[in-house]
Amino acid sequence: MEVGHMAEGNSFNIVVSTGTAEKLLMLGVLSQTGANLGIPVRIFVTGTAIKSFKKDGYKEKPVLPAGFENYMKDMISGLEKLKTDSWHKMLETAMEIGDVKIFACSLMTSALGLKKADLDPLVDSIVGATDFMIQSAGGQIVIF
Amino acid sequence: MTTYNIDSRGTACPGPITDLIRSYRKAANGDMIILLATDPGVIPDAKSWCGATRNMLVDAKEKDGEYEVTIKVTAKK
Repeated sequence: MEVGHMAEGNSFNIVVSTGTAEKLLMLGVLSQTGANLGIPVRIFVTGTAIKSFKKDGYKEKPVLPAGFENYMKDMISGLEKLKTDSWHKMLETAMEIGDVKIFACSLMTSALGLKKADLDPLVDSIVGATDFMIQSAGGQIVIF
Repeated sequence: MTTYNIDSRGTACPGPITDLIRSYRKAANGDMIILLATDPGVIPDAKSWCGATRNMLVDAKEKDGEYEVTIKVTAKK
C-alpha cells in the first residue's frame, strides 16, 4: 500500500464547469487530497472553467462569484496569510504525487476555437463526454 | 528505524497531509513520522488517513494552537 488506496478500482471524478476563484480552489484541494489517498482523480473541465485552463489562464486575475466580492476579498486575504498554495500549484502537486488527469471538454473547446496547444500543459487531452463517462464509470462524480 | 520530523506549521489543508505523504513515500515499516501543524483539521485527517491506510496512529495532541501527530509506519509493502 504505497500511498494508501482506500478503494482500489474506484476513482474520484470532478466536473468543473464554473471558473470562479472559490471553485478552482476547491478543485485544487480535492485533487490533492485524492492524490494523497492514492485515489485516481479525473477532472473534466467545461463551461466557464475553460477560461482558467487556457494556456497561462491561471495567471489571470481570479473571477469572483457575483454577490460575494467583499467576502471573497476577505477569504483570499486570509488564505494568503495561511501560506495556501494556489489552485494551480495544488493541481501540479496532485499530478506529481498521484494519478490525476485533466481533460478539457470537446464541445466547449470547439465552441471557443481552442486546440490542445492553446490549453494549459496540465491538460492531458480534449475529450468528449462519452470518454469521460466511461473513464469515471463506477466512481464518484462531483460537479461544481 | 528512522524518525521523520515534519514541520507543516503555517500551512493549510491539504498541506500537512501532503507533507505527510511525501515522507511516507520514503519511509519503511517501523519508521515513525512526527507531524507538526497548525491546521485544525490535521488530527481528524491524520486519524482517517491512518484508518484507511492501516498505518498506526500512535499519538495526536494539541497544545497552544499547535498539533503534533505521531504515526508508526506499518502498511508499506
